[in-house]
Amino acid sequence: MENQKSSARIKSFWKNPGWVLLILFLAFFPILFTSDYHRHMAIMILLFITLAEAWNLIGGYAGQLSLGHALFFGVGAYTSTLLYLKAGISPWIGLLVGIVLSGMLSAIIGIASLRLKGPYFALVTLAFAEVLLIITHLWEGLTNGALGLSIPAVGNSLIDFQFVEKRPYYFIILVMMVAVILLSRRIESSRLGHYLIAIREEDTAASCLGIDVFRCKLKALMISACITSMAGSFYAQYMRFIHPSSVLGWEVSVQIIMIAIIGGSGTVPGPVLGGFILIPLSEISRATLGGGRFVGLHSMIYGLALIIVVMFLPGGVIKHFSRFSGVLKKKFMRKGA
Amino acid sequence: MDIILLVLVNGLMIGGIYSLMTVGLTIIFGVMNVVNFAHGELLMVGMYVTYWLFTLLGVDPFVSLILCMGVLFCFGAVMQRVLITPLKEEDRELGSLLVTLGFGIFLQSLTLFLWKADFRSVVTSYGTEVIEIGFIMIPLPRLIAFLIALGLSVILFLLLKKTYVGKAIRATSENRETAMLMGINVQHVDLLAFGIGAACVGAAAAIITPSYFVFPSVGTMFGLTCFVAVVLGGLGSFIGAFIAGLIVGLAESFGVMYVSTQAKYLVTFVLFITVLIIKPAGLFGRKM
Repeated sequence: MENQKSSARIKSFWKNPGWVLLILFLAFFPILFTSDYHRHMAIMILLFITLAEAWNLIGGYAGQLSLGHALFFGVGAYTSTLLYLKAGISPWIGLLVGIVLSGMLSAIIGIASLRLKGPYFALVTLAFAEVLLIITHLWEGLTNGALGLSIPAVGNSLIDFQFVEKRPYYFIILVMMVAVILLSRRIESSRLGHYLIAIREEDTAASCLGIDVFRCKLKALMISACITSMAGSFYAQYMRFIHPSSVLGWEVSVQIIMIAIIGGSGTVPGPVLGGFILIPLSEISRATLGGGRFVGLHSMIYGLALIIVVMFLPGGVIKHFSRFSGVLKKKFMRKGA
Repeated sequence: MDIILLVLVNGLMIGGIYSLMTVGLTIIFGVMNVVNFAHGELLMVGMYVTYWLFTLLGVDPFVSLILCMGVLFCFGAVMQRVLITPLKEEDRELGSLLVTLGFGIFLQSLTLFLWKADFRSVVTSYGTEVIEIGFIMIPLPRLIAFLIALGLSVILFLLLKKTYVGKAIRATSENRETAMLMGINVQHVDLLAFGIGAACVGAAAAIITPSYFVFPSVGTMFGLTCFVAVVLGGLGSFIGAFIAGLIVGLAESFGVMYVSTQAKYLVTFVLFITVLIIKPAGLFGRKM
């Protein structure tokens, strides 16, 4: 019964023309665009959509603002890299180990802070991320400190999670992203999803209705952390070079939050839209406005965009986007009739 | 023994600054339930104000204290009106966090854009002077800064305790609805609280400028440290915030001495996490 329901849900996903078009486009993207620059940008978009979808589970649906998702990203990146470099263990296994570690870490964070109301959760996630950032800086024997770690190139090797071309990476992250979107949709329409939304709207009322508020939030956080960690391991293998602030830095957390919030948190398509808007914007503005006279301009736009969305477009761009497309649909339908 | 004393004194010096900033953060949080994520960036703004006053007009940092407080008061009040007031009541808590976060990023990158990442400093005639008490040597500017921070905190406490305005602020942070029913104009209190909170940061900025470099991201770690202190002190408790500021300063100082220079924030954050797990209401928190 449960199985039938979920397969129906997945079918409805494939029936939705928007999603199908998007995935078809993404599947054929490497054929249409062959330059490394475009493929790199596409990989970053898909990676950050995956991250923002993961953040969205706890930050959007459950309304618990995590300011330290870089923590799980960094744990994933460093775990797979260290296991590979120090013990020769395949990054695929490292990725799984990273997921387990991140899950455990998120449980500790959740137990420490999800019972409390107010801004505690935001501050604790931030503090944990900072602690790990400082530790990776200090523990030079293991992590090589601020200099970072690089993974030596071995050519095409599936077991080493390494490819000369960008295309295999592209398809790996595409599969990851589609899987996370399907999972998000599944959670959204599941009991857990409805509980989370109830908790976000009014947690006292939710607990009066018999929802175990703490456990639901903890579950959402743990799932979110595991996905983020997976994406972290992918990032490390793709870049083959990580240093503490590139994976554990405050900027990473902020980037993830921005994509989810500006796109539209608490919805599945929101972070997807956010990723397609923000990553090209940041890559292009960094390339054109990055150095010299315009240093700082790019993050200025970021900060302003966040303020504008929160103040004037609550619900993110997707909400207003869908209202717009709704108006269009109505017009077309009227014409058709 | 001497070393411990030295570490203690050093910790208190910086702790006094943290205390002043944390009290500012607490007033804002207490009254409006707003975690001001741009708190560290306000410090940075204050430091640039002090720096330019000194460089262009030759105003001594300890003199520009008053001016800097005034500027930051207005800055805070405008921030409250423009960024916080328009937010809907029901998403004020999350919304204000994001808006102040965005504003902080904006401020920091604006200064980066205007004045680049250069490290600037204010060189005063007394900048390198040192006071010796027994074995302990205290840089003069730091000592003055500490005393001013202490003095301002005491004045602020008296203001909150004795004056009508102070009582209105405390009443509003105790219970907003009841305060409204008692005829307190909570909108004015909000404005005032944000202004005072920012002015505290302005004062802190002016008095640390002689002993710190001024650069766009100078406020980030100060801001983070204040969040730690504000939770340690129990969100919303003024005395708690003050004492927690000192504790955080001491923790940092001991961390530098006994772990490593880079570890100074590590000790602070670990302390924060430990307290939160053991006693989430904070060390001096009222009730949860």
